This record gives sequence, structure tokens and C-alpha cells, in this order.
Amino acid sequence: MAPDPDRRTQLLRGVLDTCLLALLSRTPTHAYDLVVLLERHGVEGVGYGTVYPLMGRLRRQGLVDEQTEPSPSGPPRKVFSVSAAGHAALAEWAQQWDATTSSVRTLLATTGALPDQEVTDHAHA
Amino acid sequence: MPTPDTAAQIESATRALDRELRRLRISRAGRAELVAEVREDLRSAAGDGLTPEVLLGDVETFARESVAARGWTPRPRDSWSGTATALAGGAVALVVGYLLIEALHPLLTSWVELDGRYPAAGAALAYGVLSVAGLGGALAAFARFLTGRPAVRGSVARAAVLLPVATAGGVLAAAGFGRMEGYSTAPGVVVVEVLLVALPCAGALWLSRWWALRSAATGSVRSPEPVSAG
Repeated sequence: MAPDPDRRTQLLRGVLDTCLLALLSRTPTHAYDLVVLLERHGVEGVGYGTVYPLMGRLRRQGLVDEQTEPSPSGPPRKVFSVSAAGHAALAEWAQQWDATTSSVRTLLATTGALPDQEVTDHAHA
Repeated sequence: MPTPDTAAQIESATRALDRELRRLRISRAGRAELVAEVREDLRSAAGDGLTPEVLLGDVETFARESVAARGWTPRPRDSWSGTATALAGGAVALVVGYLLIEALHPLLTSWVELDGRYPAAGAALAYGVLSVAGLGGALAAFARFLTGRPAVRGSVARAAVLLPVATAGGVLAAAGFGRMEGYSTAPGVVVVEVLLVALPCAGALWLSRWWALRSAATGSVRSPEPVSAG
């Protein structure tokens, strides 16, 4: 069966803010670069039309700061970075993601939906 | 560096975005900020060979989602329709109030007999009931019309203060005009009297809505809501 892109989008939707904060915590940058960075990290199919509004929400929530920096090819532009509240949120959301995916992986392996001998053994122990 | 063709596409796309934001009644400062950010991103994307159409997709959806994500309040053009609805509601309530007084007056006078004489009490009570009915009807219709729209509470709260003031001013002006005209009931005089009351009321309702929408838009641009990490 071919992968369902809508389903993948739905799966990503809940974790995309975590991904953006993680990318920004490493490299402060602007919205379009985040789309490129997502693709480079294998998170494909997330468009600028999704990332830019999401950055607006993160800014409104105070999780992202913005600085204006000179641009070599045009007028000064805004660069986003993670705020102190954003770092705290990122730590918590990353932990939540890890716990959630770990539980789901264990469930899938235990029920035989996902072949993972190590997890299965661990679950039976 | 974008080619001249791409630069023209970027300008066209940002103009379309600005139009959409204007249609959503976003403030000039908010529009300028958002469009400038997107323009720079479009230029970066052009360097990678991406057109504005590919990057933004449907401009209307992009504008709406960007505005919603920032918590900006779109300012709909409903001040006049809300005013008209409220005035109609007030007029209906006035008629209903008048009919109720007409129906209840004989019953009350036959059921209740007060000692002494109260020459002004009946008229004051009737005018009081009519005023409360008219103002209540107008505010109820205004609130009902605005349900589900931005800045409902601010609009109704402002109208609750401004409308009685405007009504009082209008009634005084109408009474003065009526006196000047010898309390004539000629159609022309009555129409002017009605307008003298209705116009200040319309102004107060329009101002309430415009003021509340403006405050909501300014507040949401200037004061982002911080949230906890959790």
C-alpha cells in the first residue's frame, strides 16, 4: 500500500513546533530556512505555508525571540531564535515525544505490528 | 539574486498578500511587518528556484492562517449592518413596549386604586418602560448579531454606555424641535423628530463597534499572550 501523505501530515502536525524549536535552538534563522532545514533532516513535505504561520504562533506564545540582522542581499531581515521559555518548552516537549514514541513502539512491537525483537523481549521481561 | 521576472512575481505575490490582509482589516503596521518578512523569504526561495506560487500556495489561506496564528483579530466590515440590526431591534422593542402599556393600562387602573393624585407618575412610568424596552431591545439585537464575531463583548459594553447617552441627547433634541414646531404631528415634523433620535443612536452603535474592533486589533498586535512552557 502506498504511504498516505495526509496521514503523515497529521502525524507531523503535533510535533512540528517541537521540530522548529529544536532547529532554532541550534541555528537562529528565518522561516524559509526552517523549511529547508526540515527537508535536510528528512522531514519532507512541510511547506512554507505551514511553517510561517506556526512561527507566528510560537512568537505569540513567547517561545521564540526575533532579532533584525543585516542581510548581504537586501534590506535587514528578522532572524528567529529560541527564548528562555522556548528552551523550557523544547525540553518538555522533546521528553513527551520520546516517552510517547517509546510507548507506541513498544505497543507495536509487542502486538507484532512492528518487528523489533529487542523491544519485544524487553516488554515480555 | 532574483531575476527581473522572479522579482515581478514576488512583488505581485506580496501585493496580493497585502490585499488579503487589508481585506481582513489588519492594521497598517501589522500588514507591513508580515509582508516584509514574507517578501524576504520569497527572495531567499527564489535563489533556490522556487516561485511565490509554490511557496505560498493559496494566498488567501496563507493570509488567514498567518493572521490567526499570530492571534490578530480580523476586523470585519459589520459596523453598519450591526447598527442597522440594533436599531431595528430597538424599534421592534419600542412597539412591543407601547402595545404592552396600552394593553396593561386599563387592567392596572381597574385593579389598582391609589390614594392621592400622581399627575406625572403614569407618564413617567410609560416613558421609563419604553426607554428600557427600546434600549434593551437594541442592545439584545446588537449582541445577537455580533455573536461569533470578534470583539463582541467590547462592542456591547461600549454600546451599553454610549447608546443611552446618545438616546437621551436625541430625545432632548427631538423634544426641543417638537416644542419649536408647536408639538405638531405633521408627517414632516415627526420624521425629523424620529431622525433626531435615530441618528445619534446609529452613531453611538457604529462608534461602539468600530472602537471595540480597533482596540482588539491594536491590543492583539501590541500585546502577545505569553504561555507557559507546559
